Amino acid sequence: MGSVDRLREDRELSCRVLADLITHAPSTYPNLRLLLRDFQTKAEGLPAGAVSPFIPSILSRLLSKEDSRFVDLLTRGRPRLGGETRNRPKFDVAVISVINEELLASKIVFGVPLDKDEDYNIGGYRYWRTLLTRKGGKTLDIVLTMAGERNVQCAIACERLFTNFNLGCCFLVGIAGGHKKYVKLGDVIAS
Amino acid sequence: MTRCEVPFPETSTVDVVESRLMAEHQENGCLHADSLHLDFSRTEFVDLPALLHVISLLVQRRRTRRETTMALPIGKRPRDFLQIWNFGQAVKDATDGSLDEVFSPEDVACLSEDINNAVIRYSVNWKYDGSLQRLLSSRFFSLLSFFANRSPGRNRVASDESERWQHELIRAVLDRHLGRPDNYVGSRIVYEACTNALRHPGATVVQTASSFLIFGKSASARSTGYLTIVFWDDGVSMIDTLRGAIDAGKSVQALRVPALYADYRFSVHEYSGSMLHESPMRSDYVPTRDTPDDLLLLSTTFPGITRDALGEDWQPNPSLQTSNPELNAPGMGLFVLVNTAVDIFSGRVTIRTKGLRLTISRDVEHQETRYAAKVTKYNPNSPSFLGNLVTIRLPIRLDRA
Amino acid sequence: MSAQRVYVFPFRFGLSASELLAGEYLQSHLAAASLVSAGPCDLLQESVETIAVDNATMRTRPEVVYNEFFARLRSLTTRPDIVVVDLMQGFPIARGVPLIHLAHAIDTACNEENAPKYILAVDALPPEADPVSKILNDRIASGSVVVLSKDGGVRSATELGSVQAYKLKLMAFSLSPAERLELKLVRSLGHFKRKSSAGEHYRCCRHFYDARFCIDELTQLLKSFVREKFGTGRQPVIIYDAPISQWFVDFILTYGQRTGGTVLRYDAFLRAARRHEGEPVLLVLPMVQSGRRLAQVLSVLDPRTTNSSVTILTILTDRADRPQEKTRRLVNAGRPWDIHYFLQVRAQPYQPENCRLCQLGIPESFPAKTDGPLMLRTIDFWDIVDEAGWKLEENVPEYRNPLGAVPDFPVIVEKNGPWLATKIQSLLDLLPGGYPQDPVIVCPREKGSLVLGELLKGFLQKVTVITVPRSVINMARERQLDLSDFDRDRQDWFVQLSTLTCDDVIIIDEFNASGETRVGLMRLLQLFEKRVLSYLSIVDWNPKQSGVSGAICYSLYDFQGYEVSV
Repeated sequence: MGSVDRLREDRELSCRVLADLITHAPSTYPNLRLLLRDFQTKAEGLPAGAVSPFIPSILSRLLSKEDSRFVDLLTRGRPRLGGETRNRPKFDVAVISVINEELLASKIVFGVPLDKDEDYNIGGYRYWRTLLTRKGGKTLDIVLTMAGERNVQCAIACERLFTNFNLGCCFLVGIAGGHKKYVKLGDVIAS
Repeated sequence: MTRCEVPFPETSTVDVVESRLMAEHQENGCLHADSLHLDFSRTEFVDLPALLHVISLLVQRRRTRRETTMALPIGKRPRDFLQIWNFGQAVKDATDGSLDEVFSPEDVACLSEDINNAVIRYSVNWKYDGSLQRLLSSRFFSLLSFFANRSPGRNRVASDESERWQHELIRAVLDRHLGRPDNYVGSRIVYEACTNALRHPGATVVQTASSFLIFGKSASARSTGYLTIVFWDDGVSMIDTLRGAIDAGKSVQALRVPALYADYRFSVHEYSGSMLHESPMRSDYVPTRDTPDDLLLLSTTFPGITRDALGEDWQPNPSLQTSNPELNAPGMGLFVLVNTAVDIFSGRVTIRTKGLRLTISRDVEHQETRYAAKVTKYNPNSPSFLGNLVTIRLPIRLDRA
Repeated sequence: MSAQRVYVFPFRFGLSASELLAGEYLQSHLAAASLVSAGPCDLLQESVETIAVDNATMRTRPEVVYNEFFARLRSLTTRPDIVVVDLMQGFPIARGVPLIHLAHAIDTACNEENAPKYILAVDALPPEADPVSKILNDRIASGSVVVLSKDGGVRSATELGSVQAYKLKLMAFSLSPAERLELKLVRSLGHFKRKSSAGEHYRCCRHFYDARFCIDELTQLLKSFVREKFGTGRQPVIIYDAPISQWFVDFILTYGQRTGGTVLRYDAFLRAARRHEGEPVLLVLPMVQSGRRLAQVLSVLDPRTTNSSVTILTILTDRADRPQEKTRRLVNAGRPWDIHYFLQVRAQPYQPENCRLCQLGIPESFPAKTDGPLMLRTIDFWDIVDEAGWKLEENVPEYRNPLGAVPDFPVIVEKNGPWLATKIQSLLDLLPGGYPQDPVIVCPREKGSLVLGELLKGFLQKVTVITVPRSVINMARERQLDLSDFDRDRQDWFVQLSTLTCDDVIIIDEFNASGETRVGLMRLLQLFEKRVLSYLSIVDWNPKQSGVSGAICYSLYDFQGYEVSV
């Protein structure tokens, strides 16, 4: 069988094309999920630096009103009875998002199938697990969750997260605003 | 409506067939006649290139809606030969017509008969050994047709045909009578000839056949002769395909291979035999728009010369990939064929196309040149030969033990 | 299911003599019958005499058509299950009274006991308001009559198997070289850049047209054109210009070889112009779009051919001023030129500054160059999906979730068939041992796969296609089977598989999702001791699973679009 290179085009190029298609897809596009899954597949294994330039435009597309229902659909999950964890599963990293669109973006970036049900549902809080392979072949166990928009809600969600899981570290990730004198759309801020 | 009849003599080799046709055409324009009858009734021997030449003529005339009929030899032996070599089917495949349009009912019946008796009769007199007889009865040497039409399977066709020549039995026969690397006939000569034929533009059919020709009436351990392998396709002449690429401004040199360049004694002759000119030629020559057809034809056999310099339509020769990767590149196919036939097996290669015939053999008369390349120019008033006919003749001994 | 018995009634209006038709003609109508019956069909006749109705009769006694229909029906010794009434004449006939009589005849015949199903095969569907449509509407609604047109139009009460497959089948038997050219033309998608002789990049094109499969059709068309324009007397010198189209050079050289005509590249002609002074000249080109290149050629050619008439023919054009006459006009140096063409195609050119492919950084494509990806590029895949449209997934197997809206694969194949076939061929070339010489393809008996099978039969030559019903695939998937589980006498696929002379097969499917179809087919083929060389789909929605399936899996495009809900 031929090498992967011979069969497929450069994946970074594919991601660029898909980001463009997603960004410009009309609100009536029949199956945006497939485009997103295609992006996710092509992005898998690429260095974060190669993929992240495309996320802002994809995110801005998903933030449009017309797609809110679509986003809801992909982030709703299915509540199940029980689901309490007994042994505090261990994760290297937890990624908390605040709103649905941010959760969807996290799922895309971290390779979680978009309409996959959550792996844990504890007290209504949903958690998806995934693996990230680093340079050198080492992997990071990652858990994704969504906290909710209000401060108190967010605090409760974090408390539940820390109680139920044994975490290496935790990041609150999402969209932020800032003074355009100092930052522009697409900039990454760590604090 | 003009009618013409061309009788052929007892021995109808391709040279004889061509010269009879040329002579008759010169006299009464028979090749342009509305109806042409090829009379082989007196023929006792006809060789494979002659048969394919006849098939080419049948196809050419059929395309211009001219009637051509043929009388088979009356003699049992040549009739057996035509039966065993599947001549009838080959005519049908090439012309896409029915045999009734070409042959009389008796001849049609003869061509359609079961071959077993023919095989027995044919092989008795020549005292073929058991292996050759088995190959004969399994119609190994018979005319085979492949349908080109840009079929994607054509690369597989060349591989399969090459592999057919590398089965145990034929290899044992070749090893015995050629006494050289016995897989080279299949892996280099047959593979490259087949690939070359299948890639000619406009080729709808490619036909191949082979035969062992033993000199003398009966075979003895010291008998010699030739193994003849022929390939014919009805595509555009290789001269025109190469010239088309040159005229389009494309490069026709895929690569340079200084280690493989050699010296030729290149001569051009009229059909009558008189030499027009002779000159030394080295195979590092790259043809240009000003290259005449005769030299252009020779240059198709030079290493690295091809109309497909980028290798868009090229497939590697599987057997060369490991053994001789330097030979496995675009533009090397015909060179490999000639090199194997002439240098390794001391044979010769003849290419008949358009209005020319090129023969390449070792130059035994001159020390300073490796190959003798002789081009014969046919009368420009006679119709161009349709397609490309490649004949490879390899000398054999009946028993090299 | 036993084979349906089929009879063909070929009407020929405006002709006074009957002719005998057989072979391929009958096979094409057998294909129509199979489409409608969705099962095996047998012809009741080896040949058929056409029913000729001359112009005078059509004018003065059109009711003869009614009588002829019933005379033919009554003459049958075996009752057919399906009658194909063939009106595909290849030229337009006035939709007049004779057809109304024929429609009445069919309508009346449907009243008879054990009436066969009627298929009306026409060049183009009659409009709804046409009297023929009005007469037959009730019969169509009840399923007694189906109307099929050559261009794939359908009037039927039920959804038919695969009209696209029927169209592709017709391709093999179509009488018109121009129609075959249109169907077999390879329309490659890519990022093609047009440059002037000075190397200036002045345009980008989305498509490149390659007629490499159409050499025979082009040769026929050119012969007809030359005969029509120049008569049978003095033949023109044919000169050509083809900077990038290898297929065109092959075609024009083949034409020259087959006709013995003089064919020269235009600059070679210029060098020999004096020799051809006074002779008519036919300039043939592969494609004319803006006419820029043609203008360059004419500016050199024109002054050298003042004593000759020059006719211009292009195989393809992207625009036409007079489509009825198949010409377009180009004005060069104040002189108008009429350019004849064979086929108008869609080109989608862009100025480089407006080219979205340039903006996305997509590398330049080269016609016929083999160093690009063998699978579809992302932009090409989604563009052809956009063009074909979407539909809700049909025939969702019960063992997996529906995919929802999916690309309309039969339309994708119809619009891009030849190009996809070349891509499939390239993938199959990668098989160990290379492309098989006589490939055998096994696919599910469903619309999308049927279209794909017909496409490959049309383009890859000597291909055998065996279609297997979904129910059989599911059986094989669900449980261990034995050959005795099948009713051998009645299953055409069974007979085909058990009498196959080769052991290697290729499985083809329109897409792969759960992988269960592949599993079912592989198990079934194992029963017949067949080896699966490869599983090939247009799209693989589940490449991760394909990678561990044990078969060599190829697709034209793949991504993890199918997800099993946990």
